[in-house]
Amino acid sequence: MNTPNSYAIIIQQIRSGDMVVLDKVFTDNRNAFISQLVKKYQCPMEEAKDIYAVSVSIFYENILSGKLTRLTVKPLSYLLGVGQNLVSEWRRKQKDVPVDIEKVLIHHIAEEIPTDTYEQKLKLVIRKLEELGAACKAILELFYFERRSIPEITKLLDFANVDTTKSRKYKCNKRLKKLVNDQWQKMSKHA
Amino acid sequence: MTNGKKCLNMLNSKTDMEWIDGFLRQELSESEVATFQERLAKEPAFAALFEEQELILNGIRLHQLSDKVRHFQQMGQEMDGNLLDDGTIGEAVRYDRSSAVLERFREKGKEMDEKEELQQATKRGLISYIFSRYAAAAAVLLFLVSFWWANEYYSSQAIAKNSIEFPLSNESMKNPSKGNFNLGKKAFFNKDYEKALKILEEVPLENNDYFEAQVLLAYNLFEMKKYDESINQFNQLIDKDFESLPNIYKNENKLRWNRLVAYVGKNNLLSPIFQQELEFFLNSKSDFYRNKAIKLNKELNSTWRLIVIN
Repeated sequence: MNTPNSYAIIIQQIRSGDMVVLDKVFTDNRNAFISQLVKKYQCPMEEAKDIYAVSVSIFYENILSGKLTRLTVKPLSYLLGVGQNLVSEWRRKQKDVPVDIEKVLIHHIAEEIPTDTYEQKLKLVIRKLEELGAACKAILELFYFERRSIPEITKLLDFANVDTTKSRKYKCNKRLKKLVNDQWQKMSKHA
Repeated sequence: MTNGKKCLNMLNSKTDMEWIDGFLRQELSESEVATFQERLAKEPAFAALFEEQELILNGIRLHQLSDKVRHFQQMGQEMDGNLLDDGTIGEAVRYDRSSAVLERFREKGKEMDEKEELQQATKRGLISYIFSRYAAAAAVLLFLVSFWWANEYYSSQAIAKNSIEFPLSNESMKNPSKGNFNLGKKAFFNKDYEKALKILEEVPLENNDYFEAQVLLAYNLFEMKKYDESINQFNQLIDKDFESLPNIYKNENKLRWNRLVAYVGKNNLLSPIFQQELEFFLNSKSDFYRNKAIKLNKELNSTWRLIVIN
């Protein structure tokens, strides 16, 4: 059903971690999204597909972060708005350069054109996040990306109590920063 | 640093981290945000810690978003494998492909246009060359046809031949005749003019058929294109023999008309006799000869005669 109530349910389900609903949003709106982006924005087909994947990912993040709490328009319209902004911003900044998804994401996250240093540091965080170990990575992702509360994480990861979670989260965060900083210092010395 | 101080710093740090996390997770109240921003401005260490933590947060976001994008790209690829023919995506794919194809065709078109221009120029040149050659040939052919046609129908001899008023064979053959003359008459009406000439010229004056023979001789000479002799023969018939001619030939207008026509055959159109006789027939009371004279005059003055060789 395409009503504001149904949209609210979609948001609620995605917020609660129902990835099936998010995948359904993706499949239900992909064709129309790509079609419009190709026709209206003369976007090459492959770019339109990538932009759609990014748009749904941002839609997902916006729900998790609390930026998107209720939809007043169809999910397709919202997604098109996100996608069109991404394309417009990219074209404004990069002119005729074909869309680079990684850079689109970095621009979206940094909200401005990031410096090369910042971009390198971001990529370094990603690399070091993988070195943290599954538990640490999960705590940090749940806390910083999914915006889960400490009690939620405690429950999800089956920790003893919230203090344990807080402590582990603190240590994981500190370790990650150390890994990044150490690597950055090494890279700076070599550079 | 003692263990107690370490613990205190950690607690303080955690406190700072809670502030920073609260801000990054947009969990602070308005007043707390104000306090937080004030601390950022006043405490460099706190600002550095915030920047560091914001980088970690954004790195995690980038990692998660990249994962999600990859997930959706993979889903998309699976969908494309299954749904290329499905309505909108199919349309978009076709649109995109057609755009790409169109672009390729445009490029190809440009190349083709250049080639086409060259070919067109060559073609135009060739057409022009062929056209000029064939046009010239056609013009020559047209001229030759016109020349032939004009000489066939507008030469003096052709006009004369078409204008002559022959004696009617059936009327003439009714006139009884014998011997060689009869053979000559038959030869004449059978258009064997050489034979007829020999016989007709040999008909003696004392023969009853002599005057008829002289009439036929005038026509025979005309047919043999011996126009001078034909004119003389008609002159003799008109001026000397007229009264002696058989009744069927005793038609002065006809004899004068045929003499006029012999002048045409001779192409002696400027002679006073021709002009006088033509004038006579143009003003004739006889509709028949007046109309023939008008027609003859028109033919003689036709523009076709400009390319006629007489």
